[in-house]
Amino acid sequence: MLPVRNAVARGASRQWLKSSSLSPIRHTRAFASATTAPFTYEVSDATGTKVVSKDTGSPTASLAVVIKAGSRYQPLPGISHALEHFAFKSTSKRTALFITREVELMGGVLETSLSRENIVYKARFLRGDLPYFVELLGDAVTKTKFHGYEYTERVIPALDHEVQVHYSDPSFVALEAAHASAYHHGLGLDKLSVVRKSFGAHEIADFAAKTFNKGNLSLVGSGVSHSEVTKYAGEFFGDLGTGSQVTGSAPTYYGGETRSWSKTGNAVVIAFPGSAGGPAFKPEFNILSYLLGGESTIKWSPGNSLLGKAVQNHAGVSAVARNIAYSDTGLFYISVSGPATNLKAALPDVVAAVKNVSSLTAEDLKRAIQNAKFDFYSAAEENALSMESIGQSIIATGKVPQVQESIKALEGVTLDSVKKATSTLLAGKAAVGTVGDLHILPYACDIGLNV
Amino acid sequence: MLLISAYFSAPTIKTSPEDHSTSTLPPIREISRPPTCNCLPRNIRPHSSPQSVVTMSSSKAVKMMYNYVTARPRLFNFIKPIADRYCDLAGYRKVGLMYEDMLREETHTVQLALKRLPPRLAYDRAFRIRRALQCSITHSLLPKEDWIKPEEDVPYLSPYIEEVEKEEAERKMFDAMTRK
Repeated sequence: MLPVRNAVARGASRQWLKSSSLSPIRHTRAFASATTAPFTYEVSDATGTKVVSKDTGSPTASLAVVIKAGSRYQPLPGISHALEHFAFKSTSKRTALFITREVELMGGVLETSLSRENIVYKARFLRGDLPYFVELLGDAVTKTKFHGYEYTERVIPALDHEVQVHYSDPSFVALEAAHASAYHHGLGLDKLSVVRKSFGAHEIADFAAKTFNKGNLSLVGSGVSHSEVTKYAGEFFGDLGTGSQVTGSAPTYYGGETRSWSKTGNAVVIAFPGSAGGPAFKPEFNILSYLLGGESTIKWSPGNSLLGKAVQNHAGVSAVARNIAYSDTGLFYISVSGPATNLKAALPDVVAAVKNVSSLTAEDLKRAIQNAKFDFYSAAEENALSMESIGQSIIATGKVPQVQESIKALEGVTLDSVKKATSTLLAGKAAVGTVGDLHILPYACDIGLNV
Repeated sequence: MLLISAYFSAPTIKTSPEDHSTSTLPPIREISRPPTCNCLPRNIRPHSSPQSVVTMSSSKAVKMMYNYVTARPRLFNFIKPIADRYCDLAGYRKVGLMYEDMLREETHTVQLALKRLPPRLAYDRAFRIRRALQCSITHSLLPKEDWIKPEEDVPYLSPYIEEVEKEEAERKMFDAMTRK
C-alpha cells in the first residue's frame, strides 16, 4: 500500500516540470553500451568557449564552469574568494532568490569551490534539465550585477563564516603555512579572504570582467550529451568577451619553515615539490602518496601503508600523504595532526617512514597501484568529481588527460621511479608548516628534515 | 496631501541617485549601483514627467493617481502649480529637508533601504536631519540661501525602498507558491 502511494505522489509532484526531467532517458541507450567508452572526454569549441564533456548515460548530470581566477591570480588579497561567493547572486535576468528557489524546484544543486588555481561554479541536476542549467551558468558568468548591497549583506558574512570555519582547523592552517614557506608569493598567499581590504563590489566586478572570458574558462560536463551541451553553450556563453588567459608569476619553490600558534589543535604539514597536473603529470607522486597512504581502506584498522604503521602506536595521531597538482607545479605533502605531545613523538617516525620507501617491495607497489586505480575510476564514475582538474588542464594546454591514459600511466610506474622520486624529495628542501602548541612541537631540523 | 503634492512637485530629474548629491564633500567612491526603476509606464510625456521619477512606493493609490494625471497633460499642468505651492507652504524645505527625509523609517523595509544608501547620500541625509532638528529646537528657519530648492528635492531613497519591496514581494510569491 505505502510504496504505491509514494510512487503516485512522486509522479504527481513532478508534474509541474513541463519539460519532463526524466523523459529523455527513455530515448537514450541503456547504461554503458558496448559501442561507446563512457569515460572518454570529448572536446569542442562552442563559439570560442572550450567545452569538454563525457556521457556516462546516467540519470543525473553535472556541469561546471572552471575559471582560472583562483587566489594565485588575484590582484588584491582575498578578491578571488569574494568573487567565488558572488556566484549565483542577482543577475540582470533574475534575482539571487529567484535562482535559489527555481533550482530548488528543479531538484538541482548549485555549488561553488575555490582553489589556488580556479574558481568553479558547479550545478548538478536531472539529465533532462540540461538547457536550463547551461543557461543559468551562462547567466551567472556573463550577467551577474555585483550589487554593492549584496556584497555587504550576503557575501561578507559568508566569507567571514568560511574563514572562521577553515581557520579553526589546524590542518588547514598548517597547509596554508606550508604553502607560504614553499612559494612565498603567488601560490604561497592565503587562499581565503583573511585580509579583506582595498576592494568593494566595483573591484570584484572589474576582476570578474578581466577573468570571465572565453580564453580563461572552460565548461566541463559529465553525464550530458556532448553535442547538446556544445549547442547550448554556444547559445548562452556567446556574450562572453574574447580575452586571453590571466597570467601569474611563475612559481619558485623556496622551502623553509613557518610556525604559528593556535589553540584549536596541533598539526604539522611537511611538503615537498610534487607533480603538476595535466599532461605534465608525474604518476610516481600519485603512487607514492598511496604507498605512504595514511587513510585506511579498512574500517577500525590503521591500514598497511607506511604512514598508517608509523602512527599506529601514537594515540590520536593521524597522517595523510597527498599531491596537490597545480597547472605548472605541484606540492606533495604529508599532513600529521593530533595531540601535541603524541604528535611530537610521532613526527620522527613519519619522517623515517618516508625514508623507508627505499626498502619497499614490488608487492607493496602493486597494492598502491591497485588502490590508486580504484580511486581514479570511482572518481571518474562520480559525475561531480575531478571536474576542476579537467577544466584546469583544458584551459592551460587545450588537452584533456583521458581516464584510460591516466590509468595506463599509473600502471606504468616502477619501483625504481618511486624510489628515485623519494630520494630527490629528501635531498631537497622541505617546506614545513607547524601550527598549534609551539612550546611542544619540534622544529623541522629536529625531526631530520632539510629546510 | 503632502505626499501627493511632493509627488507632483518632484522636479524633472537625473537618472541616478548618485548624481544629485549637493554636498561639498570630496567625492566618495560609491560601492553600490543604483537600482533601476522602470515602474512607470512608458507613455508619459518626457517634459512633464521624467521616467526616473520614482514613486513613494508605500502608497499604491498615489502612484495610480500620479499615472492617471501625468497621462493627461492639461490636468497635469493644472495640478502642478498647486502641488508646488503646497510643498512650499509645508515648509520642510525651509528647514533644509528633502521630502524623502521625512518618510516613515520605522519599518524593516525602509531600514534596509537606508542601509543600502551609498555613503555619500547617507551622510547628506544625516546632515539634513540634524540641521532640521537644530532649527526645530531653536524655533528658527535656515537662511534663505540654504533652503532646499524645489529642483533639489528629489526622490533619492525610494529607488532603494522599491528594490527592497520588490525582493520582499518575490519572496512572498515563492513562499506562497503551490505546485500544480
